[in-house]
Amino acid sequence: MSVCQTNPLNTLVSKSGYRFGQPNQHQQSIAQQQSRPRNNALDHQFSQFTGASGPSFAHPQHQQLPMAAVVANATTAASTTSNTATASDHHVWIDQFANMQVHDKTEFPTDYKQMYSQYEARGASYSMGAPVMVSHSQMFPRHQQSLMVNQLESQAYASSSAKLDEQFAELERQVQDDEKEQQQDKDDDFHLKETSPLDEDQRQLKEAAQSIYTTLSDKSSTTSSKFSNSKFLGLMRNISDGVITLKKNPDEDKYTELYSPSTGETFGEEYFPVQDSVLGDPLDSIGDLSNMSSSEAAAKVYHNSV
Amino acid sequence: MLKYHMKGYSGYGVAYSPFYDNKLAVASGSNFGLVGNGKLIILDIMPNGQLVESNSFLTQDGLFDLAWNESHENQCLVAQGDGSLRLFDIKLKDYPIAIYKEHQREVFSCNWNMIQKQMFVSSSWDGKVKLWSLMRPQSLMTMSPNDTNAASTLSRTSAVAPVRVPMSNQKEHQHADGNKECIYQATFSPHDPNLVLCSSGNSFISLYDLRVPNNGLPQHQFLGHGGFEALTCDFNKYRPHIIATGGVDKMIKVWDLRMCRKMLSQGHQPININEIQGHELAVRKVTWSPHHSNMLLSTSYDMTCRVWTDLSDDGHGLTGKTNSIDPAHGCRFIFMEHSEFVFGADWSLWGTPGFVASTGWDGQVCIWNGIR
Repeated sequence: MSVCQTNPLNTLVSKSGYRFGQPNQHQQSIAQQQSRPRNNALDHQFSQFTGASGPSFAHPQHQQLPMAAVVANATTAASTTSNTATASDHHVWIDQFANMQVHDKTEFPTDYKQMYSQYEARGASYSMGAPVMVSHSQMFPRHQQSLMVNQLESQAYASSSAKLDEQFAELERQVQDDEKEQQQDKDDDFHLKETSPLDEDQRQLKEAAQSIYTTLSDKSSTTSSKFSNSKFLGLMRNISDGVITLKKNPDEDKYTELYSPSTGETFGEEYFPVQDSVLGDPLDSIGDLSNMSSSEAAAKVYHNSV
Repeated sequence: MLKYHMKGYSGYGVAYSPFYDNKLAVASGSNFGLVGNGKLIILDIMPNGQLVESNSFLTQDGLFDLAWNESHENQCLVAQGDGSLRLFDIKLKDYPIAIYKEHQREVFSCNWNMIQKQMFVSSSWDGKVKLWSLMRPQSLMTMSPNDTNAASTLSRTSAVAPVRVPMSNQKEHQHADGNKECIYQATFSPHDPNLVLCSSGNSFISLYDLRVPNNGLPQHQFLGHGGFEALTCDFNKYRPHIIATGGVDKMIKVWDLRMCRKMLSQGHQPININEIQGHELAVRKVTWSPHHSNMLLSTSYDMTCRVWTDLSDDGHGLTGKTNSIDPAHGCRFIFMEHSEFVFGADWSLWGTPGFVASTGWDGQVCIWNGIR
């Protein structure tokens, strides 16, 4: 009996190699846990159904089984829900089921779907034509935000994990270099007192400069040519290379200039100490004018100012 | 376009005088503001179009912002890196006529009240916003926008780590906690003398009503830039409820304060009515036009200044549109003459509407027309 040869369920069974009615171990264990007494009988019936071996399709549970999910637009909905199915009815039902087509009336037209998939393919960064009110920052992967000076990467969306790995490797190299330098500095201290290592503030400036330089210099946007000519970026490179660092003014105990530790030359603008004072009120010098007539007061102010 | 180059100094702020149509003040710092002196420079625009330095004041530390006294034509206030505010008389020489020092760290902005003209406000890296009267050496009020539950919850729980801007890397700047505490800008409303708006490094925008005592906590507060530092904010000059903010997420956002009512309650976030995308790096400053209700100016680390039309308003009312519907995102003009980060910019109140002065780390002061 080959009524059901075109049945999609059959096709599925034959292609997947999965035997309905012969539950796998997982199902068996569930079945054992639930310890349904009718289980074997059900399995048997269902295997008969899937094997299309005969019209033994009488258990009401089977009718509920596939129908509820798929039936929505099937024209035979009424007959399938009937509990009083007879053997001949089964053939009718199976035919109808085989010929059934799932058709969603609310589905979008094909051309719209094509356009939408094209739109999707453009990606999030190209949001022209659609009023996107979602902040781009929310689209960033979280881990990127923890990178220092991340805001300076114009290509923040594009930076991939490969780039992150690169940066991490770079950081690690720097740490190793620093350790080496410190070791060297320790060694050198015995010989050369004047090559003092960077103090905390200088080291921090150096680190900041490094991160600024690396994030700004490897940009691949339209501003990259501008940044390659940037004096600020040049200074950041020099600071990160250790060529230039902060110079402390011994009188004021604060950093006031940039200089090159190797040559001792001042870099950039020279610092001029400025007195921290306020201009006095010019009227203070006039003094007390009470108990004077207006002409006397005027004469006194005039003599004071001349 | 007019140009003036400040040799050895990098511009941080520029402002047109509210009294003279030909005077500009520029706040600057040497070595990109990293270390060394600062300088307040007064520029005069000559009839032949030249910019001439008419006076200058050298200071101990870099200057990050300035504000003209709204009630005195010769007085100019600067925000200095050592935590002090200094008032200079541009007719005098060398020293300031008053010093206001309470902030613990760099003062990043100062703003003069346009209605109660004896008052000004300052914001600092120490996380405080201070209200000052011209006649008093002590501040009238100290505000702590970062001390709210929302802000502390965010800093405790959030995976969003505010990222660092190379603002000025003076010695105590290099802490691992970044600039979270920093209040980058505080500004008065031009419509109501009691309203102060500020933007901070923890991404929060805070609004104060000075009449309401609240232990220095803001009346309203909301997350402006999704965890990225909020570097700047400004009130619209024509629409009292509209503000614009800019941040490290490269966005300019326009907010309606009427939609930001329940801001202190957890989990309630207002929605911006417009957002403007186009800068390639963090937005450093936004300023609404004094002549248009729907035009604003922005400066950025991408070395450009841009003039934008806010498409959510057509000059008469809300349009319901956003700038993302426009192919150019509402950009009217891109000024590309600067060769380093652009920090300060100001609209001219004078002459034909549309003139703008801008300054940046390249030491250039440029005057150009943004709406030709």
